[in-house]
Amino acid sequence: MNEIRAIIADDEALLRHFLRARLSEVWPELIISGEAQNGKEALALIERHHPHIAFLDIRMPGLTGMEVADKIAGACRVVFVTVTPTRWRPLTRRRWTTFSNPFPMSGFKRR
Amino acid sequence: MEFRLDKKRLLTSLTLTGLFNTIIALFLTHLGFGGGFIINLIFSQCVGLCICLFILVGHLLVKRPSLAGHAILLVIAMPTGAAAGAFIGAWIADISFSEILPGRPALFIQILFVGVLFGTMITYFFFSREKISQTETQLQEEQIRGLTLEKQTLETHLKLLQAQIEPHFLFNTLSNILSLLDTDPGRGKTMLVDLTRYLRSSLSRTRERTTTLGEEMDLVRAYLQIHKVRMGERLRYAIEVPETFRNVSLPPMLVQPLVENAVKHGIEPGIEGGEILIRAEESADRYRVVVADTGAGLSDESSGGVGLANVRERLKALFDGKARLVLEENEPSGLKAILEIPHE
Repeated sequence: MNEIRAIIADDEALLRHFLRARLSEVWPELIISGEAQNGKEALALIERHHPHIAFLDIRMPGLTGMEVADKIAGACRVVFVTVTPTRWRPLTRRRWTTFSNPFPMSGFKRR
Repeated sequence: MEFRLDKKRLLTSLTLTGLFNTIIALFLTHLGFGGGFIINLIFSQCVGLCICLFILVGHLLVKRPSLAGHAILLVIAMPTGAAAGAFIGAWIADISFSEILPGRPALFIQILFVGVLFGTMITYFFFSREKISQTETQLQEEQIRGLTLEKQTLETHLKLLQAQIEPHFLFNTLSNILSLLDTDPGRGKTMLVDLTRYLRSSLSRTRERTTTLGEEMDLVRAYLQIHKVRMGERLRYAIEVPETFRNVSLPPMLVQPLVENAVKHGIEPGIEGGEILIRAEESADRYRVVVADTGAGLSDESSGGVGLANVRERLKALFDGKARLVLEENEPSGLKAILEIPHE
């Protein structure tokens, strides 16, 4: 059982689809066990599915990606997803020990 | 004309007066008037400096005299200054007062007359000098004001340009288009057209001084259409601007920031999203453009947002206080931003 499960949270349906498509290209074995449209759904999804990775949009209604990350308190790895390759200040200002580095979606490349 | 008396002005006034006094003494001696150069110099210095001091003290007492005030000041200061100067001169030259008054009233009257005559000429010189320097200062101040305004305009344009092509908006839209190319190329194309329209008009319009409400609405529609694709059912909007309003001219980029504010702070934070309604109406003396959203309403963020502050600043600069931006609570929820622009 070394399958890796992830969830995707983004308020924009097209961007969820985009991320899922790119992920399946670069990481076909990854199982996406759920998609959330806002922060609250993301939190519920993580509590229900216990994924290994949560791909969280930073700007979401309900709870922001960072608030979700705070609440799950390291229950899984968090990847912050943003389309903007700038404005890292809110992220770099804090020490996110349990998370990998945020990276822009444009950074996805075929291995 | 306002007179400011500082150390520099006092010093130059006295020095110039002293110089004029010497010239007058030389001139009078040359004519064979009075009792030799030394006596003439003593008298002219005393009389001239006394008149000068009297006028300066007068200006010190009355800071901002009217033209009549000036005249009265001179009429009083000149003879009294000349008389006082005559007495002091007599005292310094060691001529007994009896020789001047009442023994020889003719000499006293002569001194008075010469004093007032030259005094008038020199006062006129000082007056013109002051006026020229004040005009120059005014001109300089106006130039500085003009340059400052120009700088502010340029800065505003730059700020607007940066605001219109906000990186997040641009990258987000491009990612959406990229995603649509996989799933729905037709919609992707429409979105690309909207983006192009939006960018083109933002870029060209920030440079123009006026645009029409119709063009502004086209821009806003493209902007909202892009957000509609992103947010789907979460964003609903309507633009109710009658055709007759299309040709109303207004400065560019006043309505768009209000719509952007409604999307960002009204619709985006709510899970259910909301509605944006844009209306235009006309009253006796002004046009009103209303941007209402059903979002979270007045918060610190929306009342003090950079976008709205920018609009306020520009209204102030462009309409000289006659136009305004009003923020109201929208019924039943959300924020209503009302732009009021006077008829031309």
